[in-house]
Amino acid sequence: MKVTNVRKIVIAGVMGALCIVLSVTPLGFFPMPTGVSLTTMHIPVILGAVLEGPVVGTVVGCIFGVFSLLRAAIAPQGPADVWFVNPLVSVLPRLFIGIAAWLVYRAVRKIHEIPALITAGIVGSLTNTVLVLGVLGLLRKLPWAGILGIAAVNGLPEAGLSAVVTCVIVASWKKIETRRKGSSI
Amino acid sequence: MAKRTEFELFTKLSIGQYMPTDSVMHRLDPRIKLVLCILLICAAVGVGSVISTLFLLVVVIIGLFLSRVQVRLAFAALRPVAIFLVILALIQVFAVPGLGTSDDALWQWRFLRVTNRSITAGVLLVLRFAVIVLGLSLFSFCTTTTELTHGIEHSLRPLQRIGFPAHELALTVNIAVRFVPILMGEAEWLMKAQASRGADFGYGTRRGFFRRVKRLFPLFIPLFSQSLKHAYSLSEAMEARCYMGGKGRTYLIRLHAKSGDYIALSAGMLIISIAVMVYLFHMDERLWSMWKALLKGGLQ
Repeated sequence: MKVTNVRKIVIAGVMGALCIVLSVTPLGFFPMPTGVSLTTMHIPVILGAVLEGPVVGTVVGCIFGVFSLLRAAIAPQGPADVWFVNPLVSVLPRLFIGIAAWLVYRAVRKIHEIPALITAGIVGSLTNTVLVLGVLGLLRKLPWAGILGIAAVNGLPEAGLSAVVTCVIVASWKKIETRRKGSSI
Repeated sequence: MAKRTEFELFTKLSIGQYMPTDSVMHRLDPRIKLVLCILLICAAVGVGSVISTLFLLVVVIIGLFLSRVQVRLAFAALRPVAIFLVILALIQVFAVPGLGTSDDALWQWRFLRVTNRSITAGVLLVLRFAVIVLGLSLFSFCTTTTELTHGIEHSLRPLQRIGFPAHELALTVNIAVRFVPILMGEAEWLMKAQASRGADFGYGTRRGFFRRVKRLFPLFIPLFSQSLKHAYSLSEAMEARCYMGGKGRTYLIRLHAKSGDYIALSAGMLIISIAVMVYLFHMDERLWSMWKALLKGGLQ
């Protein structure tokens, strides 16, 4: 029991550090031809949840949320960052990413590992999108029609991105056999 | 052709530097600094009156002077954001439709409309950002990360009695803070290594979505698996040294609050509660109407 506990603490810390690194470097922003960039910052949260369970996922989500609040306050990069100074928008929704990803992963894993990882990535990312936009809608910062637009333009590709990246990273870490081999470079 | 600066990730991390000047602020108990900093941010976010936010700003600037750090350094953090902040404030003043109706417009041209409330919102936006940024830099100027984690752990310790893992949480935060520069260096090193092998990270090219996602892999897979490797070897090292969690653990550094610390805590609480009170009881409007009455009386 004790043995796993230390590992959980350390993984939570390192995944939290990865969230911070992604959000202060260009690595956390994946530019799209449409002009908006997709975020990859919630991927460590999903990974923490998938590898070490819901508690680690929640803690990493909390670090991600607090840091996104600090970043929005200190170095705002767009008008949306003004909303993220509110902890209800930036911290609260992020606590649920890990739980949702872990529940789905545990449910689908009985069938096969790879689809479980893909659905965990999709569900984790969609939890982030839906809850953050939902809170913004409830606080009446945005009209609901605009929220639907953002969810379609930003949320769906983000879910795809996080599904692919989560699946590939965990598969390579756990050395799960896939048919592809070798680097693309 | 990628510019060299594209790979210099460390230059982007400028906040959170410690300035060893050993002033009154530095010697304060870190728990008190932590609590006051959190309260200050909450107050700055929640308070919607110009006068109380201005009051908080003045207090923070006094704190900066007390810390004997060059005040210029704190304001340097505001400089890159300044233009952006002004634009945001102008948007608030002119073009946010929710603020005020056309009846109380001071000035109107097509969809642009200025009202008392929109001016207040614009000024508040700037002041609020200044308070939060200067407050956070004051905190980071005079608190080391070690003090920060000790502060977190010691202030959460009362919760440990009801089973809240205060020590574990503080350790997690500590690991996260320590790992940021390590992982940052790792990311920089990986980007350079893959670029030297001819990798193109695909910024700005138009290709299929999944093909572009695939270009992230040479960077993301080594970055994530390296950090997982670091994590596993750290946890093994901790277990090998018989780390057993927070139960029954003694500390090398024990925090003892002195009388000066309590005075600082109560002074800080008093200042923040004054700011909140001014907002809650609309004292700024009363002061404003008193000031106007005074001016009228003076003119007559």
